[in-house]
Amino acid sequence: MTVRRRRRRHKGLPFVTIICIVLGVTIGIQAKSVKLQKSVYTIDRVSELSSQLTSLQNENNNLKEQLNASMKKVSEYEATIAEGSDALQSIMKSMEEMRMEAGRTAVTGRGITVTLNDSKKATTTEGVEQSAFLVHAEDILSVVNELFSAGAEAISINGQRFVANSSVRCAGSVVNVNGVKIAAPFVISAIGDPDILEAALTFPGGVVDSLRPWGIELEIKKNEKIDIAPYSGTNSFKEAHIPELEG
Amino acid sequence: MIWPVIGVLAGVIIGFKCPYTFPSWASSYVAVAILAFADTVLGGIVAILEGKFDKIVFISGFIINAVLAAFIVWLGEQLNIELLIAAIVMFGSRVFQNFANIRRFLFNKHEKKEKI
Repeated sequence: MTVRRRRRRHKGLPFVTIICIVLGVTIGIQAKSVKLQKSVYTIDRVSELSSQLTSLQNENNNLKEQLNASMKKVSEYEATIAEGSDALQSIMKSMEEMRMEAGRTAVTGRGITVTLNDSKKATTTEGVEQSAFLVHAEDILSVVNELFSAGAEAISINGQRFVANSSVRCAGSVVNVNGVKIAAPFVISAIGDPDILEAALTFPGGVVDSLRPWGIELEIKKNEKIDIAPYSGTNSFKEAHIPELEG
Repeated sequence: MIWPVIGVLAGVIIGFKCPYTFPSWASSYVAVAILAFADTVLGGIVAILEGKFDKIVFISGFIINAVLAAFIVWLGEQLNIELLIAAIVMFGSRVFQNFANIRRFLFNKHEKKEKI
């Protein structure tokens, strides 16, 4: 009886052992995968960061309002000071020109708007690197570069004024311009001779031709009046300074 | 009864050493499937102890439980409810139940021996 029972007991053992190995392997791989995932980030962290982001954005908006109010005061003071004095008025005028050169004033004039949008092929074409069908920071930069070289006087990308120390950088699924995140569609407004600006983009082998194979939607519109907002960021010079003149 | 334990330990070591990892989206599926596996294995051990082991029932239970568990998680994701928890509670309680059965069986056997 005992012998029979013992044999019966061990009948299923090899099966159970094999399944136990499978179970163990699954547990091992899963534990390793979870360990790897945890090192990336957790959902708690994401919500914490997003609430921080919201509060910082609010603070940022408040500060921008303050800045605008202060700027208004400054220009009022300037206007009152300049009254009645020719010398001061000419200084004011050159200051205004410098501001314009630095992209600190809103400008308006004729020009073109270039709208870049991600390719519709992106969702339908398989087996090809999907990112090739998206608008990249490099594409925006090459458009901006062509526009400037064709004599554009002011350029903004989705309302972000492009100034001397502006940067355009890929930031995951969005693009950072002047440190502000913008997403497709990208509207690049440029003030300058509309015909020359358009020609600078559409010449054979130019920017438009290089983007077309990827199906990136590019639309150029000539416009008699384009408004470009001023640069709202700060320029701080910590390392750079004007060398003192000798003699 | 030592072999299943050795099997699990060996499997964990193999799993840790092998270069493969599960993608992050599969994490909850695999977790529930592990519980289903554990339930089947413990159920199998109970069956062996009771002398009622049937390999067809065991293997089919092993595969179908895991698939069903993954399906429940998938369904929960489609319906936006945490059916995952239902699967965890069910398999979890069954794991405990099976452990209790094994423990009872082993202790009873021991007592019987002493009585003899």
